[in-house]
Amino acid sequence: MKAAAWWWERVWFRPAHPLCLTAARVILAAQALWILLSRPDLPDLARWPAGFWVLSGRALPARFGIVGLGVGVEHALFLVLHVALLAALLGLRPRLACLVSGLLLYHFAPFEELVARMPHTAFGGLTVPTLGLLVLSFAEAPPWRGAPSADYRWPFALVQLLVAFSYFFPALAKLRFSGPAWFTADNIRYYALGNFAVTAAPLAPWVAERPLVCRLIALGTLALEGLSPLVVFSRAFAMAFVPAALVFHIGIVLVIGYFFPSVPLLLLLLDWDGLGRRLDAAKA
Amino acid sequence: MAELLRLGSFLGFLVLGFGVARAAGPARRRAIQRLLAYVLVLELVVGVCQVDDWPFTSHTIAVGRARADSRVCATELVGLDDAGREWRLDPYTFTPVYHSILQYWLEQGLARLTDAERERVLTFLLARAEESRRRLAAGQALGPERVLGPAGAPYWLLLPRSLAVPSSPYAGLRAYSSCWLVAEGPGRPIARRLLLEHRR
Repeated sequence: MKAAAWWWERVWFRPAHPLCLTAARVILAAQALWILLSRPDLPDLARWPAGFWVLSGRALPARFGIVGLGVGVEHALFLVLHVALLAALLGLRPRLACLVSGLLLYHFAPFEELVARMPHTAFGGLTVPTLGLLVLSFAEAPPWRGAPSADYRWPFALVQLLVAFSYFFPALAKLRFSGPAWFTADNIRYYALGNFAVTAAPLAPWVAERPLVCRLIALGTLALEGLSPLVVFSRAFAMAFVPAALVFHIGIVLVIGYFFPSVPLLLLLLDWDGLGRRLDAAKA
Repeated sequence: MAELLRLGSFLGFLVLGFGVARAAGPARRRAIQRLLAYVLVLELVVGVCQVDDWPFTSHTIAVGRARADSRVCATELVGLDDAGREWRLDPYTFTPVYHSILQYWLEQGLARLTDAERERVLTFLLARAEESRRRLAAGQALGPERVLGPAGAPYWLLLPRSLAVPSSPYAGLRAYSSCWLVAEGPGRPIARRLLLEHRR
């Protein structure tokens, strides 16, 4: 019990440099802006005929505040969201900017897939920014420079854990729905072949013909996803995880044609605490 | 009821978060502990039970087991020019709704509509397809490239782009549904049927 309490304290409340929260705010806001500027038509969904809501019903959209506000209001809110994200990025009234951004992201992120009951909204690149910006709005706004504090650690670690969950839970899901057999060469081979017909991913046929490569991909996926929560516990592991995850995502694009829009969020796993302390030491 | 519970879980997160923002001294540490415990428990329940509660999400994707005899199905959308020639539509034609999402909707939702609703929906889709055709014909970008150009974030499913469009407006839309076995590929479909046809 004492060991658990020690770990809890160490993970969430060991002093961290203010740069951790500044970096988190900038990365989360920049990621959200990137996705939104890539989806400039999102508010137009309000213009779509009522028939398109036949699958989602009324309760699901209402949960996100999508209650027939009209296309003009949705466009205005979308503009407010961009302004709030820009303010969060630049550190202008950061807690308010993060709060407004998080709440409006909660409203807009489901738009893209709402008509189909949001099958993959988690994969759209706005999940961690939505929760992360809200977490930052609850936390202290850090000064540019200052002494390390537990106030800067828990929100940063929580955002990092949310990133880790986006790797860890897919492993759990694979085990739940397919069992350990998901992580076999045969499964990877047929995933590559099955998706090739749909996405024409360039390396799919090459990989499918090589059982050893398929086996390495299967085991690599299990290791990367299964061990991902360690990024919160070990800086060294986090630093190794980032390039491994990058290779993983590039491989997925080339072999099955799935893009992971949250890739830039890997920057959250870098050692911002160590960097902040080194910058302070250099200035002193 | 389920949506109400999900909304409640998000509101619970906000209430605990505002509690942290307001608290000071030793009460603040307790408020933070409550928020952390709440998020951890909620995330673990959602992740382990695979019950999605976005933004607390189970991240369920690509979880099935693929085999040689796995059945893959897809719906292909084409535009019809005046001569009746078919033009494969770009996956961003109906932006902000991506092709795979619309495909799912057509397969699951279209049959649930009345004739009048169906007519309205298909007329809207044809108008959207025509709007996108005009953009592409004028050399303008669609979807993620509209504002950011090549730096735009694509939708996660990277379907091949189809930027060729006729010079005259679309006269109609068609959707084909086809299925094939993984080992055989789409060149040898085990089923292919016309899902819908709509003309101006």
